[in-house]
Amino acid sequence: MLLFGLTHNDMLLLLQGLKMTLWLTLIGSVATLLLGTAVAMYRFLMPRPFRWIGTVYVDSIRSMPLVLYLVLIFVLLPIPPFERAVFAMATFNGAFVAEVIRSAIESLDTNQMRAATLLGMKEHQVFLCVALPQALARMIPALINQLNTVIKDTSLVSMGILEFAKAGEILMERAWDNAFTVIIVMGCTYFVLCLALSILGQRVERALKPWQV
Amino acid sequence: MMLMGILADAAPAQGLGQALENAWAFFTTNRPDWLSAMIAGLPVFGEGLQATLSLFAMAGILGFTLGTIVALMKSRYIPGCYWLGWGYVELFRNLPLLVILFFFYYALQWRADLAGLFALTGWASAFMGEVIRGGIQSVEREQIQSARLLGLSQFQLITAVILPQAYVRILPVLANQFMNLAKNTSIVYFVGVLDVTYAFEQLSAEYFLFFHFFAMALAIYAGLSFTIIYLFRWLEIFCKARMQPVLITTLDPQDRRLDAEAV
Repeated sequence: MLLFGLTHNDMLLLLQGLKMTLWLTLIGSVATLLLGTAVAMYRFLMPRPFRWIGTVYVDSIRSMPLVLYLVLIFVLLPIPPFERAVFAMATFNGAFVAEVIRSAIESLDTNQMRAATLLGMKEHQVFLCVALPQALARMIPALINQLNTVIKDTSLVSMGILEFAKAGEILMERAWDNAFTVIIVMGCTYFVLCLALSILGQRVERALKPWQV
Repeated sequence: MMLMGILADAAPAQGLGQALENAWAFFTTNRPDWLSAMIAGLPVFGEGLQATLSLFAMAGILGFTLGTIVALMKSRYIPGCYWLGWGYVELFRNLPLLVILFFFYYALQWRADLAGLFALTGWASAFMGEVIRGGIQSVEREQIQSARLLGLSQFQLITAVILPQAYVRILPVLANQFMNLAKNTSIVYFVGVLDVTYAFEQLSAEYFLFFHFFAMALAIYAGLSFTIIYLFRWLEIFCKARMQPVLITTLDPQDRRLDAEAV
């Protein structure tokens, strides 16, 4: 089967890469959200003397380019490439998610949290049952933006992994004549992925509208 | 990419133990001649810094200019170009920067640094365009109406009334975008331009001094970010101070009343 000069094997390679990218996106997003929530919770719940650890983590990640961080992780962690990629994406984007959650919670009215504390709820219960659900409606746009970044970042973690961008690069290096076709296929795929996520985000935002306080 | 090859050959052993060992080595590897190694690495870092800075400066200026044009298109000040601006922004915002870079590098087969410059410019202009559009739309309608009433042409309206105010209002967000741009210049590592990230990788492979060179690279990027933040903060104070008399007389209702009474 030929598609503008791409052979059957080329298509298979691209599809294999796409599968890897989708897995990376899925697991990376979940890990990012979990880690981000955990870090935000840590910074919310820990007594003051321990908070600086979370702050140092978030600020140092935010001041670092992703590529530099990836090179660092590649040097430091000789674990299997897939796990390493997920680790790198989650620890990098988790810091940004933690910052998003923190700013959303700080924009909330504190009365409900104080009332919950008065009713005898523990601090972690206040965070998980009162603060986070209210903040969720506010932070959906920023969160979707961050998950969009996760999709786009999967193209950078290709060190040792055959994902979509890497597969495309291999094809383009093998036959420079194909480069135009390959780059258009790649562009369309990433575009559709990101656009689908944006549309999903708008749906979720609309669904959560009644929750907005 | 050199380091990757060395590591793949030298360290096939994997697992947590190896990871801990590597992490330990990362912090403790301390050649007796580490200082001279770092000094020997300085010229390479200098070269990398030159590439990073020139990429940042050129992509920043070009991206800001293009972003302004796109924002004007999208807010209909350049008539008939709304969908063109929309397509441009959505295209560059929804594609990974690496794919944009590969388009210029592999499909158009440009030189690596030129491809990097154009990819960064396109990327930055899309993101900055959205920010600038927000600023343009925050300019009050009364100002535009009164400017039209005073007989300003469309060009004068844009350059003398809308853009100056829009720029001042979005300065903090713009600082963020410029910081992102400074960090994202490291993408050119993937096509082999010797920037700070590439210098770090090459040097640490050559001298096996990870921690020291990583600290140097991080210091450069953090220094760049801090410079941008403080430059923009200073710019904000400077601009607000210069704009203040205008803002008071035109925007503050109480002052307007006082003016009317004085007249």
